[in-house]
Amino acid sequence: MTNRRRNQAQLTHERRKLPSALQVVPRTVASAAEQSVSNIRPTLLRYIDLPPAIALLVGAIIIALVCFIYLTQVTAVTNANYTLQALQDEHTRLLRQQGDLQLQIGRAQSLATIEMSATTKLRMVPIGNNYQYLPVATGPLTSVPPLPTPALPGDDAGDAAP
Amino acid sequence: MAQNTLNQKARQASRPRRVEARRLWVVLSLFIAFSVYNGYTVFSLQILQFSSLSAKAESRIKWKDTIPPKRGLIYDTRGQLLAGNTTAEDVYVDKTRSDEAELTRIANLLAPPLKQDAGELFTRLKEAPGTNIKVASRIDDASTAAIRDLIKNNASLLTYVVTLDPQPLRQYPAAGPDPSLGLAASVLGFTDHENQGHYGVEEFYNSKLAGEAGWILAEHDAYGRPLVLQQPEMQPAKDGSDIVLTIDSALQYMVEKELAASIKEFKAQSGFIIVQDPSTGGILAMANLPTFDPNKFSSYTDYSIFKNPMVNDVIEPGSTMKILTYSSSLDAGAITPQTTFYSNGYVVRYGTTIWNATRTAYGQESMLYGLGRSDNIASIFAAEQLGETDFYNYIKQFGVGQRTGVDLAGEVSGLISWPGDDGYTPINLDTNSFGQGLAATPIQMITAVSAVANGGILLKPHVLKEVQQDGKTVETFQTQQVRRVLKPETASTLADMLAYGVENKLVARLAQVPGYHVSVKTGTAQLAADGGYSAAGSFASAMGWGPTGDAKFTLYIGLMNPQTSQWGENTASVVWGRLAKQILMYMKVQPTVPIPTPTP
Repeated sequence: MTNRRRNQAQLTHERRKLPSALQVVPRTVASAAEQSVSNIRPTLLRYIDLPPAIALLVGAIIIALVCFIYLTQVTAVTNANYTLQALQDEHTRLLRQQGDLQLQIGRAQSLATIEMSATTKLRMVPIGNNYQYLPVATGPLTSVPPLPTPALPGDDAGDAAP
Repeated sequence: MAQNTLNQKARQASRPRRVEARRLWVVLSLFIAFSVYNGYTVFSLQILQFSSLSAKAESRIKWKDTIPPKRGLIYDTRGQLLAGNTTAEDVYVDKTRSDEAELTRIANLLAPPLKQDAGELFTRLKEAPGTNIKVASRIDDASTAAIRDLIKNNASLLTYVVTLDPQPLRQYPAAGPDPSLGLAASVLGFTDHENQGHYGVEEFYNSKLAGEAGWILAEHDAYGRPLVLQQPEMQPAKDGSDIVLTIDSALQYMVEKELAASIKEFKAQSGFIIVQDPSTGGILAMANLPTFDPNKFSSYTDYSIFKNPMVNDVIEPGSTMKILTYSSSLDAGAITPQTTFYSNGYVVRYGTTIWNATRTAYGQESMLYGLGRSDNIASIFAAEQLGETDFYNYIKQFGVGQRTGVDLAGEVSGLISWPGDDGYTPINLDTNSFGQGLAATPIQMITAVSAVANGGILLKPHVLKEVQQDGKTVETFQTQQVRRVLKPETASTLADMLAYGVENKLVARLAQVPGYHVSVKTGTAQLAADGGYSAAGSFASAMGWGPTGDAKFTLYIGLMNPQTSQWGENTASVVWGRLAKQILMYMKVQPTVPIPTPTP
């Protein structure tokens, strides 16, 4: 017997047992609410009252769906893990590259490298004793006469000049 | 009859049914037994052995990986990188699934790029315990590329069998004037493959530089990669601090170049040069030859090459000690520059005749000339005027024979017999006054002389300038005053006495620097051997500072066993003058006296 038939039979049986007055007017509001709820359940069940084969199929589909969602999530987590790992590897690689570049800068700034470049590429020679210190007067340059200010374009004097 | 026949038939028909039923029971029993067995097995595996099996399974996928810390960098005072980090590969061979023939092939393939003998490599692979055998450490880039190619070209044999594991490698990028040697190698020391510093700064500041290793306890995938999203337990690594040294790589380069040139010029066996800032105690340059390349520390078999002779070895200082003797006597008021005595060229003390270096009788001689001529007899006179107790008190105040506390690994204290010691005899006062019969480290000597150069204050020598974390300074070395040893006027007087000797063509005349007053004392010491002194060879040295009245640097030069001349006057003194000229120019110190125009 299906749920729908069972419900209908139970309903008929109860109607027979109850006095007619009570069938028309509910005793209390609460009992009326209970009755309305109990009436809904069979209605809902009526909709999912499927033949066994269909029910099995639906069950299988639901299980498959859950499995699919689970696998999707696991795959997503695994992918995220590998993405994170790749990013960490990239971070490590960049740190190594930074270290290597620091070393390259260190080698390039090394005086041995600079001297080699200066003497071989730029053909510079050591200064040796070929230099001289020049005495520089300290204090304000009072003895130097003021320099003439050059005329700017648009000045009257400039315009008048030939 | 017919009924009997029917009964017989019925009996016959019922017999197979009984047999089938019996078979059914047998099969059912077997089935039940099998199910019970299976059920028990599942129960045993899932319940009884759960703990041990899950632990076993976990151990195969979950383990602790070490996260190596980044070792701190070392910079010079100008920001030049002296020690940095890179990575290099360790090579492993997993011999789990390889038979002897395959191991032979693997050894033959790997030997050339690893520069190893194929036979020896095979033997190592075969005999080494374990399955994953390390066959090479920190191989260079060319070898790494060659091995990667090998794996690619012999994928069926070498994939997952030969693996490369990147590991941190310390590198020292600044080369010295000789490109095969590192700059400031004996100051820096080196770091081994276990991130442990040895010698020099690397050892002394290992705790700051090394950092702390971290770890991660996580499940791993089939390739051994940690599954970090499974919320692993982990302790992040703490990177080491960077340190900035007082060493100036430009000065260091200059010093190393001059040292190499002077060893060649004077045919010396070895040598060292130290430049110190007398106002802070900071070491500006420190070089010795022979030295090593810290990038190739594992290629050296004689480990004595790693020692820093200026900190780890002692020498008899010779006449440079007279700077301390005279300054002590002057400070105590026992002598003045004008104090005179009669020099015969020798004195006899406790039955022993002590000569001056040239065996010359100078006659009536002032302390000014006694110091300028480096007369041992004048030095003995100055020490005796001061007296044994005060002399050794001053020597102790200068820190001679005691560790200076310099921040370099393995500093030794020196050898000196103090009055009251078992080895002490009264003649020690006389011999010690001119630097014989005691041994001190060069760092002790230059620190003591810097105290005279800076006006009388003994400062703690150091190579650390500051400590940085993530580019920010977290610790700065403050100049540490040990004690005042001399009165400022004493230091000034002695500086002038030494400058007088340089500028009046006395012993240190070759150390003169045109345009500057410099205070220099030369030294020539016999080499100690077998409890006495070697007949051949000498330790030639020159010690001083410049400019005289406002010292910007103290410079100590030592040449071991120079062949062209045994005298410091003719060897180390020359180097002192040449190098001081370069240093003064580099430091942009204005000349204080007119410099003659060079002739074209």
